[in-house]
Amino acid sequence: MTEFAIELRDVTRVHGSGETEVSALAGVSIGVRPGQLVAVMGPSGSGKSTLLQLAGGLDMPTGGSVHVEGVSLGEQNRAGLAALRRRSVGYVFQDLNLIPALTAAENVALPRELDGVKVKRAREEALTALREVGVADLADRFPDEMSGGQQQRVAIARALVGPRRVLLADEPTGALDSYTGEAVLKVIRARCDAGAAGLLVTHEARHAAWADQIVFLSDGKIVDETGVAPAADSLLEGAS
Amino acid sequence: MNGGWRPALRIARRTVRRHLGRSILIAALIGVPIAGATVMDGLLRTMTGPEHKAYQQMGHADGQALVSEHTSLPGWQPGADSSLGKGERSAAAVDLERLLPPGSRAVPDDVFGLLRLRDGERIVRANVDLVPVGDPLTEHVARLESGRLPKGPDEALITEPLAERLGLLDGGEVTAGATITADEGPRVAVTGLAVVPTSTDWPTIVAPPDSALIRAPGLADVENPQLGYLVDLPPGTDADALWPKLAEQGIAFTPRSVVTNPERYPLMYADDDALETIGPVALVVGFGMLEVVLLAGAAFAVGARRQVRELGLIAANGGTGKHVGRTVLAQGLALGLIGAVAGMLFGGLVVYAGGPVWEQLTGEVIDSWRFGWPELVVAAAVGLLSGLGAALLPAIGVARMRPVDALAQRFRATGMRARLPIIGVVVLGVGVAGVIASGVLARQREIEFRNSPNATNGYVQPDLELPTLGVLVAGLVAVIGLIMITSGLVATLARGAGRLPLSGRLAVRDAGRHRHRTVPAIAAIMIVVAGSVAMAFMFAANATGSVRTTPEITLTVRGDPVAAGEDAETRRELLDGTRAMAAALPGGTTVQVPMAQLSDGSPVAVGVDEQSACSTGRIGIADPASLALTLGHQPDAALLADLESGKTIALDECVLTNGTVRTETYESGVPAVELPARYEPRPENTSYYDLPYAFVSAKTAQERGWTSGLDVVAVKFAPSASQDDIDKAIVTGEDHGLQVFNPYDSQEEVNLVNLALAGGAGLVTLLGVAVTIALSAAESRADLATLAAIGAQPRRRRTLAGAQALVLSGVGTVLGLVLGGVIGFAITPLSGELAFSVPWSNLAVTVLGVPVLAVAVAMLVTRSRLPMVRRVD
Repeated sequence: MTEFAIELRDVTRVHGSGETEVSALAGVSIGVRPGQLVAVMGPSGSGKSTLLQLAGGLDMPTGGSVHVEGVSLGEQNRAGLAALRRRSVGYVFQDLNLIPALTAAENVALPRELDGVKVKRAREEALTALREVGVADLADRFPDEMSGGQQQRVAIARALVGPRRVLLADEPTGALDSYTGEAVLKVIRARCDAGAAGLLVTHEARHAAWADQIVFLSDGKIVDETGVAPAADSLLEGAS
Repeated sequence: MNGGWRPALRIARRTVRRHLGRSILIAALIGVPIAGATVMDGLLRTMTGPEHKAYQQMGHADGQALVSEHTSLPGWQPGADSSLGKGERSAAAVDLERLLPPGSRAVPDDVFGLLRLRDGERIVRANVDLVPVGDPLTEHVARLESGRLPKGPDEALITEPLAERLGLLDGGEVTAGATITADEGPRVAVTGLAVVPTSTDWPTIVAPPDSALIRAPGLADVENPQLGYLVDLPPGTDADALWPKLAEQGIAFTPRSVVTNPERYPLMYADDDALETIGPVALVVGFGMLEVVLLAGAAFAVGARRQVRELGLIAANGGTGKHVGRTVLAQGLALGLIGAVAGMLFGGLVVYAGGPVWEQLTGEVIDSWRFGWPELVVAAAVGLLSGLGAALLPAIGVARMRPVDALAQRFRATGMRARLPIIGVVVLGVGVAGVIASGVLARQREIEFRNSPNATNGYVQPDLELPTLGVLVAGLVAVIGLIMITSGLVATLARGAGRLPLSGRLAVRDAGRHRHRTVPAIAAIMIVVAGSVAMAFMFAANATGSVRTTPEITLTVRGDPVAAGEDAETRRELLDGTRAMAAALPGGTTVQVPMAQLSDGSPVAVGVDEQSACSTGRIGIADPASLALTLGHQPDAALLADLESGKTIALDECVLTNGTVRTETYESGVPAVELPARYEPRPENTSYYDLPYAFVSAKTAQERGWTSGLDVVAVKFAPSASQDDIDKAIVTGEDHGLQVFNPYDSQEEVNLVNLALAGGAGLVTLLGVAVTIALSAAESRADLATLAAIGAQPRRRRTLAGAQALVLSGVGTVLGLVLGGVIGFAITPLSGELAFSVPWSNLAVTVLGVPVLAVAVAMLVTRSRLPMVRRVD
């Protein structure tokens, strides 16, 4: 059993061919353990979003392999990948995360309902997830009745509803003001502390500071990384 | 319910509400044909069918009884001949009610006739219904509308059309003290207005059975040895057990069930017209729904595109391609259901609310409406399927998208898109080949039939089932092939748009980039234009081959069949009346058409076998004027010589057999005569209505003992006569008691049909253009905002809309024209015609008029203001 909830091993992604060939990622290896939050930073076009898409099976690598909770995505067919996204991996995008025709609870319950869970139970799980992110009172509101920050919290709840334990967040604070953005990061941090594994793409250092590890991408390659920060209580142990 | 459908239906329900404009558009596209089908169903079920026929024939009565002069009618059964002949007793002396079950009631049935009324110098012809009006059993014949019922033989009711004609109407009621006078007959008082439910626009007199009017010429001459009654039986009476007993008493009793369930009676024929119309109706409905699917499909395609990010979110949260596709299909289901239900409700409303209009159009009173629920359920199901059909391709398209492309709202060209036009060429080729082959086969079979002994047998038709099926199937294949090619064609046009002016360039490239909406619209236009053009070819061929075309400058006039006095008086009336008509028309002249008759006035006609498909008509006695009128040109020397030699000139080759024609008279007992004859072809566009089918010389007629009778006079006039002039002349003729036949009516019908065809094509084109331009405006707001930002004039939006309309209607019309011409070639022999005639006027209206109209309407309805919105929504 692997120690990583999500692991990319020497992953490469090339778009196009011949003269139009573009290397979005080249030999990238990253692992995220349960309870860990890894931030990925880099300039525009560095491959951050591509990395996230490969991590959740939305796209397939040209080389290397991706593993989610020990399952190799390369060995899955389309149905298998979809099942993985229903049960293991949750996405939070920069904006437009929620389906406008569904309420907050229904948006959160969506992956469970798609998995065949009965409406009542799916709603119960959704309400639990909404409570965990502090927006249970918005359960029956539609997205256009919520603020940006509230929508992002609902998106985080959906990403971790039911058995999902892997959170992939692509610039989740990009469309928010700084105060709200901080609040959203706090929620993501809290969920990771509760056991989820998080891969966060951001271009803001103050948001990356919430992560246990920061990886720097440039032109599809890892050019630097901070290493894993020790747990806070271990710092206190060292001090005493 | 499967987990995938529940969220899909939920999203669909709410998406429909959120995008109300688009939803209403799609629901309306689906609902309008359903509404039309509902209206047609209501009209057909109410105005036709056995129940309606039964009501028309006997109202609410349980049956009709004919009391004959015979003491017994052995072997009589319902459906047998109702002319029972003279017998040994007086029918009036029979007490019918005594012979019926206790509690029965019998009232005299309607006696119908024609009457001439004298109104000053005018003759006004009217129908007469002699019936005990006011009795519940006779309400189907006539009802009191205003005034009071007649109380005696010297009183009568008249209908509103007759009252108007006689000037006896005063504020919707008959004028006080009004009377009507039969020509050379009695006068009766008019006590009120009546309405005849089955023919509300006819001038009719309604009078009691013992009315004084029965002494008037026309009615007095009618001998009727039997008396008819309407019979009301006590509940529970077995009418089928009653009629044999009554037949033993010399009474022919027809139960109501003979009309409502004719299949139960051996001598009755069940009306299976419905079966014969199923095929054409199914074809029309099928292609109609294809139009709906295409037009609504364009709207769905746009909706799916705008919703693609949401669909990507479903995929990102674990939805499979099926889940994603269901989300779009569920909207099709929802809108199909809404459209079907709304269509039926709207159609029902139109039926009920439009009652007075339907009554006016049909000329009948409609007491209650009937609907056929089985076919309405089918129509609703078709509506539902249309919604699903419209959403199907967009659903398949988004289901196949990669989640990452859906999230990025990136639409990639697939390999299938590139291969589609190539496959389309093959499919089109197969379809066109099939249509042409079917047309050739149809022609062959028609020619073989015409050369076969069965050609003149009216009960045998050429075997055209296989070519008909071939045209249908191959035509559909050709349509599918053209639709597949259209995408590639539009893309090719877009690539070559660089040299066009700005609006044209934008329009063509927009069409190429957004083929998801332009191709369905072009296909919808193409199909309706193809149908219109194909039908126009068929009608043109029918008109060319028809023997019933008439010149537009002749009215044919007959004498009044109920005229009083001797033939000389009828003749005088005819001549005076037609002279007055000619005087009312510019360049008006009269042409007498003498006809051969026996010494007692019985007409002599061309004889044909009972089973023959040939038409028959009178034999004329040749004179230069009537020959020229009928032939359309002066007779040549050879024709005159043949007449002189004793030959009959036959104007229809069908009636010739081995160089002879047979004559017959309507007087039985006079033997048929065979005369040497030859065929003289009539050129197109010659008058034939009520004119001779053959001519003999005066000498030949004399040798046969025939005399010359004058029944028909033609009134010719200059082409400059207006419709008003013609209408006045017709009224003049009718005021003289004459029957005027107007060839304009049938030509007007043909013109109306052509107009309807072109109008239908135009309507669908406008609809397709409107839908697509509206969708384009919604999708192109950002681009239009950019145009505004860089200083484009506001009217640029209008010219852009016009250019888009031209692209859609132009491409659709050209493709439709080509396809329609091919199909027209094939279906012409299926209608029994071999002549191939090009309908130039219809083609000009369709090819030029429809796109021009589409452009004009698009520019008129488009606002000239360009939107100033941010580029990113």
